[in-house]
Amino acid sequence: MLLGRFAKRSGTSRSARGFAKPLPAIQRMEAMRTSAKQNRRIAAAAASVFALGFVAFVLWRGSGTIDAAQGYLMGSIVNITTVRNPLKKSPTADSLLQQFEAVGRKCEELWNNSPASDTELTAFARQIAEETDGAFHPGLKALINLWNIESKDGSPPYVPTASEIQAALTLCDWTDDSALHFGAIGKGAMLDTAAAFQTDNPLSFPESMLLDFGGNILSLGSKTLGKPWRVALRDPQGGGSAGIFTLSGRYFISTSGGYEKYFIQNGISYHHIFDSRTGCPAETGNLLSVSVVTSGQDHAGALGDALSTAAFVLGYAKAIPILEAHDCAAVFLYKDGSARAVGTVRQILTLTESYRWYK
Amino acid sequence: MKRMDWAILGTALLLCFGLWALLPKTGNTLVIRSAGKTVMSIRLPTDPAQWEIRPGVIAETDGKRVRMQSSTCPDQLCVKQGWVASGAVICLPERVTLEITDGTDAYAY
Repeated sequence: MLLGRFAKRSGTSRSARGFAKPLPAIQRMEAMRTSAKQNRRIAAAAASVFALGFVAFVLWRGSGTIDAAQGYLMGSIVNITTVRNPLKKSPTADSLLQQFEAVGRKCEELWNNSPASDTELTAFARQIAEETDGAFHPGLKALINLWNIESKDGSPPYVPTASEIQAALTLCDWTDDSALHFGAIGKGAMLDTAAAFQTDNPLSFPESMLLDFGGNILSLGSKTLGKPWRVALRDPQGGGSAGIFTLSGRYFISTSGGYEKYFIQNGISYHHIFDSRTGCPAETGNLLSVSVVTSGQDHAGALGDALSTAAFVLGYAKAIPILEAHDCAAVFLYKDGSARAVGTVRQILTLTESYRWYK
Repeated sequence: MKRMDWAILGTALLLCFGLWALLPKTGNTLVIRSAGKTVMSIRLPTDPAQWEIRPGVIAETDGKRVRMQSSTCPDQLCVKQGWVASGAVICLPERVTLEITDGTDAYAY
């Protein structure tokens, strides 16, 4: 529209070009009128530029500002990023973090002391354990304490003998309340708790939030101006990323891999994901990690966390029917740089040059 | 007067460009946090550099990557993590994170 107006007037303005010689009175008056016109036009153009700038600024600020905070919970780092809407008095990232940490510390205490009293999570964990035939096993407390890979109380990890492992395995029964350990489902369950904040208090909780709980991701809504959240999937080999998730809406991403927590003794690497059949870290061959993406399922966070562990232990072929039964998307990363997709994961995940899709 | 029109348009474009140039760059940023508080957030310097976060806890950058050069923590997991080109080096005991962000909002692992 702006350009259209300039074009229409350029016919008269061309005649007013070049006043080197003195002009007759009528022409001089004509020239003065033209210069007044010019001034008006410049003023109009300047006003338009400022108006456009103002509108852009209001749209930009009005769509919210990014606010982030970092904290610690259950031995992991928590990063919360949120979009604060100036019109809605959205809570700060700091206050969301405090809310999350407060609930998290209660859960941690409960799960450490009497996990079975969290009846809902216990029932859900047992259900997934049945379905995966123990590939996800919530009753490995004796085994986890025996290996001590997380160096609780500062004592070093320990490679147990075969008979010690057998003795511990007899205690590993997920139907036994005293054997329960929520290490492979707790973080995902905490993401469910955070997502429930929003469902329960839609007015006081922001529409958009990205929660990173020790590498387990919950996304809600989108970034400013409707842009999706960008979440990099860490490359288990080397310091870069294996791919980028672009997320708009509610997604949970849980990753299980042998590269996250491990120790090396006599040249052998021992990681933290146990195979309940052997009592040792799962032998996964070329498989580096499994990331499971869930969204609207019941207990979606806990489900993704438990199934990523099960899928890592089982491998691609055996995990497929379980992942599909729960309508999960997933990506399996391998040492040779290949990646296998399950479900619709390729719609939200773009691989970097370090990895390529299988086939 | 066509020339004047173009001049106005040009000025407007220049103004927009100037405003755009003032907006934060989306290049790699180095963020160092200690106990949850951001102590440093700068564009990743192209020359190698060292950053002492507190006595004995030293981060190092090489223009593209960051690592924990030394730390006073008992497990030294952060030092063993080595160089990281995108994502974070995390020292849990010291509650220090070194992060290189390239426009991503979080890291899944």
